[in-house]
Amino acid sequence: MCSPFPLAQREGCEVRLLKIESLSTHFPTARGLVKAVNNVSLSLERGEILGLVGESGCGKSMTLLSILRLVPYPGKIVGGRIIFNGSDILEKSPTEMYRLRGKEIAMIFQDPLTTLNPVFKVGQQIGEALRIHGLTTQKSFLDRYGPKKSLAEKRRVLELMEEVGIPSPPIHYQEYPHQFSGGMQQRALIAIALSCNPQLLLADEPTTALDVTIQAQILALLERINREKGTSIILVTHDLGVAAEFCQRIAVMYAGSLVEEGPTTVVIERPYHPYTRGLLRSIPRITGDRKKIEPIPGSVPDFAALAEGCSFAPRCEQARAACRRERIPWQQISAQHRVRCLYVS
Amino acid sequence: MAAREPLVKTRGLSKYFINRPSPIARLITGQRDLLIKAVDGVDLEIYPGETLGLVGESGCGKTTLGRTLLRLYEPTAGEIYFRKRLVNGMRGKELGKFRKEAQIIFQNPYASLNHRKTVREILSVPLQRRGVGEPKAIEEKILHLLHRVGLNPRDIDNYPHQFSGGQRQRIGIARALAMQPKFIVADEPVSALDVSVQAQIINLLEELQEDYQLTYLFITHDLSIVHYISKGIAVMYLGKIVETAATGELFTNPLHPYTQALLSALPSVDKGQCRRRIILEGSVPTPLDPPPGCPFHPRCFVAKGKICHTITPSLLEVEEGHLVACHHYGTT
Ligand SMILES: Nc1ncnc2c1ncn2[C@@H]1O[C@H](COP(=O)(O)OP(=O)(O)OP(=O)(O)O)[C@@H](O)[C@H]1O
Ligand SMILES: Nc1ncnc2c1ncn2[C@@H]1O[C@H](COP(=O)(O)OP(=O)(O)OP(=O)(O)O)[C@@H](O)[C@H]1O
Ligand code: SF4
Ligand SMILES: [Mg+2]
Ligand SMILES: [Mg+2]
Repeated sequence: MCSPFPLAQREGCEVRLLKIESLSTHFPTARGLVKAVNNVSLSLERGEILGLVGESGCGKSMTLLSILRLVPYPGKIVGGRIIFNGSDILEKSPTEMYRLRGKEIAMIFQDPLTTLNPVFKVGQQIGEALRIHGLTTQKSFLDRYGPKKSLAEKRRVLELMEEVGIPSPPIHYQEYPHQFSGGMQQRALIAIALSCNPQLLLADEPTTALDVTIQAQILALLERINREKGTSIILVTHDLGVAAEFCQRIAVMYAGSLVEEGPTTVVIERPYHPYTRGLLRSIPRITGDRKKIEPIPGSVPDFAALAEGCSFAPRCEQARAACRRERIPWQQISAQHRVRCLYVS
Repeated sequence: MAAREPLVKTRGLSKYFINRPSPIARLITGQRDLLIKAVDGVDLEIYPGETLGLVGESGCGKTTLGRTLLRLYEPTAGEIYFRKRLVNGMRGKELGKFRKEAQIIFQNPYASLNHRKTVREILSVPLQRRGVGEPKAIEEKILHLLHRVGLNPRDIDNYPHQFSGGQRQRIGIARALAMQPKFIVADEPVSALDVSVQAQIINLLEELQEDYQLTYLFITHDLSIVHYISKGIAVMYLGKIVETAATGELFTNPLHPYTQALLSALPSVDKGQCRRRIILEGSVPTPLDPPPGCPFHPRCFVAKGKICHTITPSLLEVEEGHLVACHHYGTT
C-alpha cells in the first residue's frame, strides 16, 4: 500500500518528501512509561509548510527529534517508519545518519542560546556547519567562492549571514553569541540550518522566545526561504495564530497523539475534534463581536497515567463510555481532513 | 462623559537604574556607570473597576512601571496618586494600607511562590498581615479563597510543585486577593501558561473584577489578550508610553507607527483580515543606549526629517481620549 493519506496518493509516492508511519517514542520513567510520541503518522509534500501544534509537553519536540534520531536518553523510538526520500531513516547506519543530519534535514532547536556555542564567534560556527559536511572541499564550492579554502568558506558564511538578514555581516561575523539579540541568534541558527541547503527544515518553536515584531521578521524569513528554495518546513508551535497564517496544513497533537489533521482553513474554520474546537474557543479573537472565551476544563494530563482510549476523554464534554474503552481510529472527513474522535458531528 | 476620578494616576513617573560595571571591567575596558531609563516620564490614568492593558516588547519597562506604581521600586522622579493621595511620600501606617490595597500577581507562577511552604502557609501570611489572627478564622478564609480561585480545598496542605502551572497561578491570585485589594498589577499573569489554561485564568480574573470591583493594570505582550480583557490600552516603547486609547479605538485606528506595526504583526486565526503586514527592521532596543529624538525613530518606517532624530515627541491628546507621541502620527 502506498499511504493512508489521500493527499499523498494524489501525488504519487516518489514526490513525497517525508512519510512518518505509526511512529512511537517512549520514555521509561520511575512513574511509568511515558509515550511521548504515540503512533504518529504524518506526511509532508515537497515545498510544503506543515504546522504541528499542541500545548506544552504534548510531544512536538520529540516528534521532530525522532525524525533526526536524536531522542535524548532514556527515550527510545520503539516502533514505526520514517520514510524520507524513499528510504527509512530508522534503518540507516550511524554514518548515513551523520550525513543526513544538517545536510538534508536541518533543525532549528527550541532554545537558540543553548544551541550556539558561547565561546566561538558566530561566523566560525556557521563556517563549521559547512566544514562538517565537507562542503568547503567540494570543487563546485571552490569554483564558486574562490580557490582558497578558508577565504571561500568566509565568503559563503558572509553570504549566508546576508541571506538571513543579519546586518553588516563582516562585523557580526566577528562577534560572540551573547552579543547577539534573541532575534539575531535565531537568524544565526537559521543560517547554520541553511548552510547545506537542506530539503527539510524542522523548526521547533522558532519564534516563541521572541517579541512580536521580531517574530514577524523571522516568519517572513522562513517564508522567503520556502518560496525561493523550495525548502519544506515542519513548524512546531503552540500558537494557533502563527500556524494559521504561516502553514498550508496543520496537524494538532494532544498527549503524544495526533488528533486532527487537515488544510489550514479547514482546521481553523471547521475543526471537528473537540480538542481543536476547545483550543480555538479558548483564544481571544480580535475581530468581530466580543465572544466570551471558553477554557478547556482541567489540565494537560499526566503522560505516565494515560487512560486507554482517547486521551482527551477526561476533559471532553462529549465523551461517552466507548471513548475510554478503545483506541480511537482515524475518521476521514474529507479528502485531506481527518480526525480521531468517535463522535464527529 | 461625566468627569470620573482615576483610582491610580501618575505624572512624569520615572525609574532609572544605574548599571555599575565591576571595578575590574572599569579598569580594563574603561566602562563607566550607565543610566538605564527603564521608565521615563510616564503619565497614566487607571479608572476604578476598569482594566488598563499595558503592552510592549520585552525590556521596554512594563514590569518596572508596574513595580514602581506599587512602590516596590522607589520612583526616580514623578508622582503616583492613589485615590488622589500622593503615594510617593507615604510612610508607616498609610504606606501599609496602600500596600494592602495595591497588590501584584507575578509573571512566573512558580518562581514567585516559596517552594518550601504549603498553600496554607503561603496564604496565612497576607491574612495575618491583614489582621486575621485566629487559626480557625484563617483556615476558614483560606478555604474560601481556594474555593474562589477554583482550587480544591483538599489541596490546602500541598506544596507548589504539586500543582500545575495554571493552579500555581491560582495560588498567586489567591495570595493577592487575601489582602482584599482594590488595585492589582497583573504582570503577564498568563504568559507562562498553556493556551487552554490561559483562558481559565483570564476568566477568573474577570469574574473577580466584577465581584470585588477590582481595578487592574494588565501587563502583557499579547495583544489579543489585552484586546479581550482591557477597556483601555497603553503602548510602551523604551520606557515611554507612545500611544494610549480605548481598546476598540486603538485597534481600529492606531495612530503611532509602532502600534500599527505591532497590530499588523499579530498572528491571528481570523482570516479575511487582509491586512498589510508591516515588518519592522532592527531589534528590540535597550534603554542602555536610547537614541536621541523619538525613541522609535531607528525602526520607524514613517520617520521624516530632522525632527524625528532630534526632538522627542510628547504624548498629546489628538482625539478625545486618544493620546499619541509621534511627530507624524496617523500618516499611514
Ligand atoms: N528525559 C525525559 N524523561 C522522561 N520524559 C520525558 C523526557 N523528555 C521528555 N519527556 C516527556 O515527553 C513528553 C513530550 O515532550 P516534548 O518535549 O516533545 O513536548 P513538547 O510538545 O515539545 O512541549 P513544549 O511545547 O513544552 O516544548 C513530555 O510530556 C515529557 O514529559
Ligand atoms: N533591578 C534592575 N537593575 C537594573 N536594570 C534593570 C532592573 N530591572 C530592570 N532593568 C532594566 O530595565 C529595563 C526594563 O525592564 P523591565 O523588566 O521593566 O521590562 P519588561 O517590559 O517588563 O520586559 P519583559 O517583557 O521582558 O518582562 C530593561 O532593560 C532591564 O534590563
Ligand atoms: S516621531 Fe518620527 S520617528 Fe517617531 S514614530 Fe513618529 S514618525 Fe516615527
Ligand atoms: Mg518542545
Ligand atoms: Mg516584565
